[in-house]
Amino acid sequence: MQTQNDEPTELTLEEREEQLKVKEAALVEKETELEEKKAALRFRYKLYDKINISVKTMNIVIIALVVVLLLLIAYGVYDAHY
Amino acid sequence: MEKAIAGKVKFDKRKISEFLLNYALYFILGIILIVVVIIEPKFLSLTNLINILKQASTKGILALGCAGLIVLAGTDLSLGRILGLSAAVTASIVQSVTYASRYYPQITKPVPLIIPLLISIAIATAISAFNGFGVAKLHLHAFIVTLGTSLIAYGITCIYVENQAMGSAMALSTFDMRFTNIVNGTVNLMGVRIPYVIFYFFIASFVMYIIWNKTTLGKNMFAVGGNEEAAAVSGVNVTKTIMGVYIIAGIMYGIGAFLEAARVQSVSTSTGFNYELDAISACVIGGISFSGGVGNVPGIMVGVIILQAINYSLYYLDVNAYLQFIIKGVIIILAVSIDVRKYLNKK
Repeated sequence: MQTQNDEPTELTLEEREEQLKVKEAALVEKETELEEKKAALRFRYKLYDKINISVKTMNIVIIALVVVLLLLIAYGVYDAHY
Repeated sequence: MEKAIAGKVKFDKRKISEFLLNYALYFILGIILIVVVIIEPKFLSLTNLINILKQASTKGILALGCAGLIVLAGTDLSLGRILGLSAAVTASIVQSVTYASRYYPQITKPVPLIIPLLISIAIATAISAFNGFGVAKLHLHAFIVTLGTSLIAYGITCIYVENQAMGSAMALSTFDMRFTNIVNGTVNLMGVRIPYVIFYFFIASFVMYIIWNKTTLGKNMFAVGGNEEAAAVSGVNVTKTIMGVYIIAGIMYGIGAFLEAARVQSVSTSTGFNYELDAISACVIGGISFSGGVGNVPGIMVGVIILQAINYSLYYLDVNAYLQFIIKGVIIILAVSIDVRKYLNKK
């Protein structure tokens, strides 16, 4: 009885190189994706970066807060002593 | 000529207004102190000054720990509750062996004080390291992680305190004299009795100064706080740095809890309540920027002392306790506003 073996398909050098190139490209793509994910994870919300206000407005806020604070202290002292 | 003079005057005016705005909090403290001295001239006594420093000391040690986390552009809302838990455990161990209602009746001989100190540090460090893990590894926002651990620590404190043999939530008190003397004992320096706790604060500040300025961890901390991505690209191990800073903060909280228990001499479930706000506001007043990467140890020391001086003055003036909360809140908002203004000026 004669057995029929499938002949192994031999790849030519060009074909192998092409396969390797495809694999390499997939690997690079995966690595890029991983880097992007890592970068996204590393990104942290910076507290002041989104503040869109002028220094002048901030000056007014600070002056207003100082006035409020002084009024509160004055009222506290007045309330406690008179 | 006239133009040059006008320009100089304008420049000076701008410089003065910059100075006034940047140091607004210091001026307010000055005004408060003047008002206190006018109403109560006895305020300017050495005893009061030492009292302010004594009260600022434990909070200062906590602020030194918390400051590193703010430099990392984070925060710590669990500080007060971590302190409460560590202080409760410490207090239960150091109760006098002659006290009938002590937490551990099986302790019949005074425990060496190093044991409760190490336990306090271990508890605080474990919770703080957990916070660090959440921030560094899981990339959660510090606000959320520390809020969670704050509630966990508070829950454990309540269970622990209520688990007394007496079966009540009674405050843990009647401590071993050696323990209370650790904080309340004094050194006589040229006729002035200075409590030990003030020295501990200065020693802790010195150690933190060395860590921040002379070690790789300190330098990496500023790099990560300033720009995390740039630090990572430059080869800084961000995870290791964040974990390191959180562990150091935990050690500071543990020491602070041990000292605070000895200072107040009675620990209950409310111990440590709002301490995180005092520590964070002291840091902000002392120039630690919430945007990260900015701050120094002497600034924290000044911030803590200023905040305590304001608290003490308001208390001394008999200002309504609820109003004191409002004033403290406005002070924090003002400190952050000044910080934001400095950031905008640099931008």
